[in-house]
Amino acid sequence: MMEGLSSAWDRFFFTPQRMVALALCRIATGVVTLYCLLLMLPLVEMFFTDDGWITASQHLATVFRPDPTFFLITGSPPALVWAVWVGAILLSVSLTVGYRTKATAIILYIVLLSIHERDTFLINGGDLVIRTLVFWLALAPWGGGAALSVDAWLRERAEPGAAPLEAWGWVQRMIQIQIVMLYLITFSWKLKFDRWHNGSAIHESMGAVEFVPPGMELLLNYPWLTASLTWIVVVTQALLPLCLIWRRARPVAFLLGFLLHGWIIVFMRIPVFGLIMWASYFAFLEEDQADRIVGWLRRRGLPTPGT
Amino acid sequence: METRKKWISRFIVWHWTLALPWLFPFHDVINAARVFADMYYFTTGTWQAWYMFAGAPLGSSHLVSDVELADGTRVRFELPRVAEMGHLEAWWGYRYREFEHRLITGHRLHVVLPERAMDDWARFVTRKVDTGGREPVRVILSNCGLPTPTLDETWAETEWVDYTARLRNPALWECEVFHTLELTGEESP
Repeated sequence: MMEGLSSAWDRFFFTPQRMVALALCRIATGVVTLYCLLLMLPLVEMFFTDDGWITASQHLATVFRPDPTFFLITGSPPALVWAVWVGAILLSVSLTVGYRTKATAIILYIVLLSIHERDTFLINGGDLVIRTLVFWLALAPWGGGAALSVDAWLRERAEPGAAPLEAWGWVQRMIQIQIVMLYLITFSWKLKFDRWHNGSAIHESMGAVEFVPPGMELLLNYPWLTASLTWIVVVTQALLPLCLIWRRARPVAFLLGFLLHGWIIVFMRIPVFGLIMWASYFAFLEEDQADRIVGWLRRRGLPTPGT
Repeated sequence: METRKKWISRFIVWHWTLALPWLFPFHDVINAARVFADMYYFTTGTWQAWYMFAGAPLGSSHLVSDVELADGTRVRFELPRVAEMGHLEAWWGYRYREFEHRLITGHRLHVVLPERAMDDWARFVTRKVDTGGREPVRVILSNCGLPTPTLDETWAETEWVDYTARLRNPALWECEVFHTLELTGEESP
């Protein structure tokens, strides 16, 4: 019995893989991180520097969080913050293209942590998902040129005909577990609140005019619709993790996730969370599915080194 | 190789065992366990807002900051409102909404001194507004908007209601003062 469990554990976490799916997840995460950093450019001065609304030391005194904060902790003069921001943008480009991938992911994680902890009043769940994905990517064995990266291209130039690198798939599994847990926990918490039972949660959201696009509040005239949407969301959030766990049902999960997060992006105007959740879905691809995407890219003349 | 696998396995078990209390938010003992688990996640920077969107969606708070001058006049400062933004603009401007909501409600995990943050904001506002050389004496922070009609209220409506005209009209807003900072001589800019 124990031997069977141990062997199943080993297969699940430590089967060698070419990391193509993880590379696709890395690229998507890099793009969303870049997008997020660019979106916040107009807010840097006011929210992240000592010339803004709160100094770093005041923020630290106001908010107790024992997170490790590296270089914005004692003071954040504008020049330093802008340098960090530009560094973060370059690092997210580097993560996307896979240049010095391992070191890039580690430094990007530290930089994101420092930025996020500088103003926790501004940071939301989407930012935290980005940061956690970068954390897992930083633990992945990218060394030596894993798939779909500049590192792999450099390796192919140095060693023509070299076989693609393989590594244990545990990091990809960790991202999968992270996302499944996120949906499961959100679902379990929804069960705790009356507004998700009595159908009023989406109703309240549709009346929140600081969220919804103009006109959406008119849906309040159709309480049967807003109540139904609430229950549809609850059922969707129950189905999503189950479908993600069951490999054959994953296409259903991707469709449900596309619709759920698409709704949040368009009708709740919360863009980053949905985008990073979509990016994480690449970690749920099997090797053959990831290979099909790589084949599709290759047919369009795009470089696919290390595959 | 085997040793490495063992260490990774221990880490996997540790990391996800600590997340389990989040799955069962219904019991005091489990809630206490979650506090311990959160210390680990905060320390490693891997904390997630696991319950995101499970509770109440953030309300439609809008922060209005009035700087009162020595002669009694008031100068108003407001951040851009998402409600007045186009779709693309809202994709970056939504952060203003979240900031306002958190400042107004102190609704942010581990904000231990929300009033202090409100004071910081108030001082920032005095630096931003043009007082025309007059001395600011206090800053008044208000939460403005209209509550969303409840599900029961809309069920009770017998006729179609133009909620756009009602909820998006600033003239109909109700403002509630939630913080006032009296500026001493030292604090005046």
